[in-house]
Amino acid sequence: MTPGSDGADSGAEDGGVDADQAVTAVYQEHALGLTRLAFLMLGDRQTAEDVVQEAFCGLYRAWDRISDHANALGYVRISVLNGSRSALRSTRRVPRPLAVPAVASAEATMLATEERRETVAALRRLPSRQREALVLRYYADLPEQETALAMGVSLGTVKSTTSRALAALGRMLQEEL
Amino acid sequence: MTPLEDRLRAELEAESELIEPGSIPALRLPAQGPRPLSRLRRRVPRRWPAWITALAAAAAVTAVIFAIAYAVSRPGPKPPAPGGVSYSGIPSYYAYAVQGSTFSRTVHGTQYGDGVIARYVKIRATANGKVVATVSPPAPYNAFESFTGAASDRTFVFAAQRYTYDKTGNERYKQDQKTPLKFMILRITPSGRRRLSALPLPETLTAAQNPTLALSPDGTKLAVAYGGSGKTAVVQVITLATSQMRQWVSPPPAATPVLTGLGAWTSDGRVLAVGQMFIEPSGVIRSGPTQMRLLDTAAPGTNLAASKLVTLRGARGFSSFITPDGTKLIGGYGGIPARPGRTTESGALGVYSVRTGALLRVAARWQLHGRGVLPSKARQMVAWSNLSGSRLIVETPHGRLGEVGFLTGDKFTPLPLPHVALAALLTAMNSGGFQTSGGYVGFAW
Repeated sequence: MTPGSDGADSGAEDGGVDADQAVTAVYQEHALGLTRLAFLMLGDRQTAEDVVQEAFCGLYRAWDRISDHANALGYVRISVLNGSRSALRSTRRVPRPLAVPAVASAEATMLATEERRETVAALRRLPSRQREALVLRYYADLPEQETALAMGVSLGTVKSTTSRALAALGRMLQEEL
Repeated sequence: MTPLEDRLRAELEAESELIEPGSIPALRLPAQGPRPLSRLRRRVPRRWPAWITALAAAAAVTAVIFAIAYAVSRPGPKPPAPGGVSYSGIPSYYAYAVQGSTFSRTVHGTQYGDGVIARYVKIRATANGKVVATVSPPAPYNAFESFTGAASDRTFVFAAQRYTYDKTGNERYKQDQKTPLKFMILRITPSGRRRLSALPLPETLTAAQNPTLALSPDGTKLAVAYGGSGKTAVVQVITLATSQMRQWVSPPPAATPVLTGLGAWTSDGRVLAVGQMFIEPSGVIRSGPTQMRLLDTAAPGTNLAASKLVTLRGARGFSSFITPDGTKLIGGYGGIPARPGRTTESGALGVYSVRTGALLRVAARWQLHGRGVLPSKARQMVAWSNLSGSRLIVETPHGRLGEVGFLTGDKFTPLPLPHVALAALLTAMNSGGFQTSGGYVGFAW
């Protein structure tokens, strides 16, 4: 081993210790929220956990190249959204609405209270960009500017996408009533 | 904020809470560490024509896209748990019985019909409700006596039974108690492929024996229990790959041994929790405190009565659910029994120490008004537990029929799965899980 490579390796190790601690701290603080965000996007917990793990591994690998460590959450949130899109594309597994069984009136009455299932099922029928906009705005509570940054689109696009998504969601829920 | 926006915000929040705090797996960082800036910026002198470089770059980008797609789509490893089974996340699949008719006939203008509780079984993915498999009994069988799933989420075992037409004029089907039960096994591979095959057992069993079943957490062993209450009580553990069987017996007077699916095995596949049901000659189940036998299946011996007997103080019912770590038993606690004229009945789900049988805490309370229910029917049923029992999936935790969901501490989060709720409702309406056939045919994870 050459002295040069020794130096590079030890430098990596030093950086690795810092990155380990820093990335783990970010993970401990935000993994739950990000996993929930990916879960709402994907409808599958296992895939959501994988996407979040990959995003944090990406953050860890890129740690030394990131100039603004204070914005690590923003970086990893974008990675989670990218990962969710890739997961949907690569598996061609568009989240399906929960099927409603044909049931007699008594059971139908019991199931009628499951508004949440209907809303989530309707959300998962939206195109992924519209779903993203709604999840970021109404679950993650991001302002429009930050939503635009996370989605990698303009402020105007966020406004129009959100508006179209809400209109589509309203129509779907109306149809189910 | 419009009403739709309010509703969306509230329901996204509620849906996201299906992923509970403390259930997120630990971060697994890559071993090679972060890539330092100096390495990334190191340039290699160009030695190839520009078009080859461009082609190579395109190929590299394509390779990275495929690699990322593979990395994102592949199933990630779950945190290790004793026995190699993860208890940290929600179970991937659930199975439930579907009612159906086996007989319909018109006699002198009157239509007679008869159905069975478990005409067939459906297995769905918990995440999206997608049907993974529909399992029907092979002819001449027309119903299931019982079924059970392994904690690994990959293996299900079914016992098919037969109903025959009653020719004595009752115009209904009756359980065939002589034809041997037909066992089948369904395996779901990690890639999602299903393989259903016959499962020959070393010993013939019939519906008259009312066997209860429990697959070991890794799906490699099947426990079967039957007999007792005037007959010899028998517990068998069969290694599915080799059909090798170990058997423990207890001569009369012994209780009927009862296995409750996922709630029967500890995560290491060693200890089997066996409920004790005392059935009087009249067929009435004797009321009394819950007693559980803890059978160490790795220890030598064949005497069932020599296994540890735990009496759960204040508990009612004939069985309880052992947590996968083997430290606690969870079952019905106390309650005001139904009596003629009484319009309110109450009870609770208790968590007990395996070591002492003492009540550690009350997990959930329930109260019913207007309709008495026998306490021995165990209104609250545990369907799944994480390793320590801090997170459960419970049926009817508060006495409301058809309610199924997570119970974490005293917080209940309903599972938005209409099929599970429906199956639980049907189970509750039909004597709390034990049908006339004697087998548990509600639903199982």
